[in-house]
Amino acid sequence: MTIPLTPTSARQPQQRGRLQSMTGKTIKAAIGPLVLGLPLALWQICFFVLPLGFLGVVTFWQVRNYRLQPAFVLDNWERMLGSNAFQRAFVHTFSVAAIATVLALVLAWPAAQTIALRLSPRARDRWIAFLILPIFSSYILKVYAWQVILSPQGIINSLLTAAGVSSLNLLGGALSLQIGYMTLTLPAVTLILTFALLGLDRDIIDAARNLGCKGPTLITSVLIPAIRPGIIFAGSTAFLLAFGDYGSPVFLTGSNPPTLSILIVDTIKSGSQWPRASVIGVTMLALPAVGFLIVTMVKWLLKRTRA
Amino acid sequence: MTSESYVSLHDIDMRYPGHHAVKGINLDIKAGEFVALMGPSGCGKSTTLRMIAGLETPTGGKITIGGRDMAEVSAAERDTPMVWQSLALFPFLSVEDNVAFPLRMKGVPPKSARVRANEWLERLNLNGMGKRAVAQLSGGQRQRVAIARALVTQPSIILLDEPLSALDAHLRVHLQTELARLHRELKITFIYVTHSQSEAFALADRIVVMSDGVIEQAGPPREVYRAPQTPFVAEFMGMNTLLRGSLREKDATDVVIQTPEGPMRAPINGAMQTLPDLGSDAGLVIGADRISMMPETAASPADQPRVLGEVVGMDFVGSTQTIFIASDAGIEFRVQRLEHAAETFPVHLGSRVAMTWTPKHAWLLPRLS
Repeated sequence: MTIPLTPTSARQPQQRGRLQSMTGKTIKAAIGPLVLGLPLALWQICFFVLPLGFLGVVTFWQVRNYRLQPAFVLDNWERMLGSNAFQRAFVHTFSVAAIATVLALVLAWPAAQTIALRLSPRARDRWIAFLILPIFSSYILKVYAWQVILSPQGIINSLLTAAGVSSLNLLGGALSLQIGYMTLTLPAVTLILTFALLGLDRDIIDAARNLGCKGPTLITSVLIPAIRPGIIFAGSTAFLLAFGDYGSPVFLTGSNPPTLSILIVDTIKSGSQWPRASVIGVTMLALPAVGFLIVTMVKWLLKRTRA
Repeated sequence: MTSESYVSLHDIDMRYPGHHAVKGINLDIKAGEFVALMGPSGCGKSTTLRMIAGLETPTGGKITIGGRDMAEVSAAERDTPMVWQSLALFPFLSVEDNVAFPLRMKGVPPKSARVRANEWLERLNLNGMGKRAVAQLSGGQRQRVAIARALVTQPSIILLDEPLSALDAHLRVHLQTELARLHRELKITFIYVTHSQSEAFALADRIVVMSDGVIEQAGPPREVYRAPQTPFVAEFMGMNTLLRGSLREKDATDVVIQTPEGPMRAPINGAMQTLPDLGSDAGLVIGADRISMMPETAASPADQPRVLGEVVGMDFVGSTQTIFIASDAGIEFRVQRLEHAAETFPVHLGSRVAMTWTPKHAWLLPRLS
């Protein structure tokens, strides 16, 4: 049996020694993060900031006789942003990516909720591994497989013909494009939502049930508001993956209508128009930054009006 | 089930894979009663509470609330609000919306839900806090929000799972008083899980001591403390000394038990139906405040036991001293005295002391397991 004892002589920290080493410690505390953060900073500068800067500079260059020449002309921007092809591709890419985002969130949610909240820890780990696995296999290969499955002579149509039903035109439409996008985004979106739900305090879910909350209301009034940052993260991941994707539009819609990434490739192929392709690239990169800026400003304004 | 029982547990069993958490317990709780479920962690007290709330489904037995079988009633449909140790407040809602949440779930329109939520915030001294975020409140204020949220629907029963354990001592006493006041005013049933003896004793009409999935003893606080039915209860109630031995003599009023400290006399417990046979195992319990301590050289009153030992530990709670003494026969005795007694007889770790008590204050344990 243990006997509780009150410690009579708690060790007093040596105040003076602590004070003397303070200055040394502050310097160390300031340098430590710098040293540790340096490799990442260098990496980002070399492989992100510099190429991006170069991409921006190239948008003002010129192409003469299929050769890139340094210059400072706004012609590329004017031509690209003003062109019908670019505007149509932009609206098209934006809307299919937005649809893919909503679709991915809606399809991933039930799976994530089941894995995170219903399965036993062992089954849960297995399903998470199962979701990570597809990330290791080539995405292009999977999209190509879809092409084979959906093509007019593909598996589905062969089965339909065998059953006496006329074959369907599955390839080359909005459906096949979204199938490709889901192949790309669903594992990541499901994983992000699963981890967000796993991080949730279980007592909160019990409390909601205990206080009369059940079924769909539990999802809308408790789960969604409780993991809102996770949903935003999952949604922006899905959007950016779909927005910049090249594989699905090429293999599953035959580049018709073109998306922005297809437009980039076409612009380069037809006349080595690197500067104009760069304009598209910079615009695509700027979009999330602008979106982020708008969201931050709206939040800031809301906060101000509330206070 | 008696006619006046409100919550009734009948042969409740809970088996998890590889773990038998609750082993067929029976308990009737009266309407308006304040019952404390006590026991070491893992004894099944929280599981029992969660089964009453419908958050766990018992693997056997029947729970009725207000005469209604709860088997087919989901957690959301039972009116058994709970207060969690972790509080489980919704961080994404304001204080006011947290309290209004159960009303909204019942379909009360937003406006009147808010009005009623604010009435409860006021009642719990949280005036003007409604618009704040939960994170902006102190620990004690959050606890009040959790209590307000549980009471806002005016339930006839409230479940509390170690609601005060996360608070510091001063706040704990404060909120304890508040809970006692609420119980007095609302006259509803309180089922309160705690490991704290002082909370249970201060609040409860009845204490249920659980161990390893079974109810060891249920009764008013004083009875559980002074008349433990099993060695587990005697040990769990803390301030007792337990002496085991074999029954040596019995007469009309008393028994004598042969213990490592010599023969010890104890009165026969009137509630005991049958006495054990001579020579069989027996145990007696002496309350820490029943034992008096004196210098080793001082003489004990005649016909009283005398045990010698050495002080091995001391604990102070305000005006009370608890002294742990290892007897020469190797048994740990617990002695409580008022702090000012140290003026006439100071002791410290290692002091040799003698102990004695009036035999009629020894309690013969009815059961040994």
